Amino acid sequence: MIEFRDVVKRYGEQLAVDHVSFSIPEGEVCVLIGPSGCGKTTSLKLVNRMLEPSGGEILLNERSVASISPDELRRGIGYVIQSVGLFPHMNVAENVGIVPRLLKWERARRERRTDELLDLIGLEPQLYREKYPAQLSGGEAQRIGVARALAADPPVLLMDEPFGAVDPLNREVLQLEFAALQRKLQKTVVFVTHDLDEAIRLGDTIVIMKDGSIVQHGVPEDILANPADEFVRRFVGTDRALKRLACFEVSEYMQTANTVTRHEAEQRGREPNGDGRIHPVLWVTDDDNALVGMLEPDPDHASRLAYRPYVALHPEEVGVQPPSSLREALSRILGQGLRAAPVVDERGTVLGEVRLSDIEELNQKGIVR
Amino acid sequence: MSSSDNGRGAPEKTTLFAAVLGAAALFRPLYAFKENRVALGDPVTLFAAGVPWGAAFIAALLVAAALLAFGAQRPPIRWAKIVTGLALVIALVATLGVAGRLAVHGEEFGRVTPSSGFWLVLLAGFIIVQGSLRGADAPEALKILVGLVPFVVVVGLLLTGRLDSLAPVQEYYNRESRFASELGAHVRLAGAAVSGATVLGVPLGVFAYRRRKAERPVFALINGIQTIPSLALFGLMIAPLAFLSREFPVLRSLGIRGIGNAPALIALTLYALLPIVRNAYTSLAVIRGSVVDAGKGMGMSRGQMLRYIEIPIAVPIILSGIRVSTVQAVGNTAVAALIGAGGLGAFVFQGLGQGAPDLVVMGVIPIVLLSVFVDRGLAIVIRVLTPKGLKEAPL
Repeated sequence: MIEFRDVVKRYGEQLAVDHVSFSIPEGEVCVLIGPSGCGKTTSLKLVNRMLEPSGGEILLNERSVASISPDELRRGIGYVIQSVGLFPHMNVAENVGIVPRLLKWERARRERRTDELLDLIGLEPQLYREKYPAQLSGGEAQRIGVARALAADPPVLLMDEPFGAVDPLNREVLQLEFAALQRKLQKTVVFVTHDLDEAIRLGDTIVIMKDGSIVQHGVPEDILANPADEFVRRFVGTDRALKRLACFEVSEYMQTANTVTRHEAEQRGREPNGDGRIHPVLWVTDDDNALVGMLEPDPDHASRLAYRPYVALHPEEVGVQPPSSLREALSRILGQGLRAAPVVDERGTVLGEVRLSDIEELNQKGIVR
Repeated sequence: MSSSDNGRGAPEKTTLFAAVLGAAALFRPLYAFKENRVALGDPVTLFAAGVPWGAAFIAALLVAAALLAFGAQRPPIRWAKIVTGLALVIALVATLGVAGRLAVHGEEFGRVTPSSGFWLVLLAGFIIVQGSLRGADAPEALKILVGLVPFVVVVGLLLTGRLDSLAPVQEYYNRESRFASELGAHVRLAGAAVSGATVLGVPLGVFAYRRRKAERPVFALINGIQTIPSLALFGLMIAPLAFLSREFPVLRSLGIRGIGNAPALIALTLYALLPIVRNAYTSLAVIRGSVVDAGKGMGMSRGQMLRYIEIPIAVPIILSGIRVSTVQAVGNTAVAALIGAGGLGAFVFQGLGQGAPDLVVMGVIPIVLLSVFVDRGLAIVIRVLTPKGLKEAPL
């Protein structure tokens, strides 16, 4: 657990961190966010004593960090920075194994750990062990930066805009990977960013800072639903309702989907199921239960009990996976002009659906004017 | 001139140029025969030198080089060119040795001076070797060793007496005992200057990097020294050192005078500073702030930063500075002979004074050989010490 107690950092007359107090429970990600110069990076650097506070104290598991020697303290805290800072003269294995080496682990144990970490971040050890930083893409380098920070299995991670220098597409992939990793590893993480979407996606709690002080501290959905003041309201933007949807996972709002196999659908044509009911959306699957298309009711049909002609769909275009956010589901729904988005797994198998009506209801409950 | 990638059809210009140059030079005199040291020589061309097999072989090699220049730029052809060039250099020197021996046969003071034909064909051979080596796909150390082959062969021919008929070699025999001491003085002077410059320059470069304010004045000073012509700098040393030596007998008893070793050493050290200071500065500047931050952030102590990060990255760069300085110092030391510091330059200036070009060549050749061996030797050391990740890509 990390606790800031009335922490002050002064540069001459200027207060970079102004009497800040908050705590981060074990195993949670706390995102520090705010405009540049708000004191977020300064606060982060106070934790591993890259900077020393002018007042107050920071506790790590109830022990003041000031009482631990900086080098010893830092070896127990993973540190990831925006520019990665991989050592250019060391290959990937040497880079990842450097903290264990500082901790005097045996070679065999170091090598085992390096391979384990490369597997963990999804880079084939055989392929990457011997590569040098100059041979890596930005995204790969950043993953290895994370692996290096995790090498000695520190309980705490400090991440200073770790994905800031990566292009938007890769950034999202890295964020999702990190979220998955964190679910597994349960580290206590201090994460600095200026990207609100990233904060919402990764933070268990968010601390919004301005001019060295905390303006609001809470879980993402609360901050988006109830901005503490005008500054936060402006900071989270007019699209906060939409952003807030990013706080909810598809899996929690998934409903049972009605499916029919392609074979059946062809046989029956546009007639309803055997039960005579007509569903708002009927997902059509192939014999392996993978999504191939859908049927929607045809209100203009004479009997009012028939579907429109079959529409072919690509699961990767319309489907959302259970760990995705409702925001993503909504964008699929609107993008395809549907009433619901199918929830699928990697192979395209239909697991359920997320309905537009549920999203609307959730939104009305949460947002306060 | 560097060779570019040509397909079949367009000739490779560097090799073709060298082959044509070499062929034209065959009609220039290979050597001049002199009856004694001061005689004007009689020019003799390769074809008239009485070594038909040598002449034929050299001509054949030049034709081969010209033909190879029309081949595709593939590795086997590249290596064929390199071998042709090496053979050309070796055959030329060996032929001159044999021709010289024939020419001086029975003449007690007879000797032969290599002439324009010899030097131009030699140049052609080096252009072929170096031009093809540059783009060759081989380990750097191997290329360096191949480039050294002709030098090693020439040294071997000299040591086994096969080039004894050459006038510069005759000059050497007349000064054999002094040669060793002047060579020693040259090496000591250049070595001391580079050592001194390293001891001063590395900390100065580090200082210039660590203290932002010091950077400008340090480099202004060092660059300023470099712009003074070497002769002028030696001259500048004379007055103040003569004054100090006169005023302080202690210094005089240490051998410090206006001329001789002391001013030479000081001037050479000052010259050697620039590459060393600049590279020491650069060696730290290339280590990115993020790398230092990452190291510090993971709990590296000051000593560990030095051992794991700063030294492995910086040492090869510092050594390259020392390499440039050393090659420069070997050359500059020749000029130091003018103010009485000795060294191989003494032969050069003596030869100039006596109007004896052979003596000048006798002084210049060991300076060239020394530079080449020191340069290539340090290049290999640097290659070995450079971490693999830094060889393939910029920092």
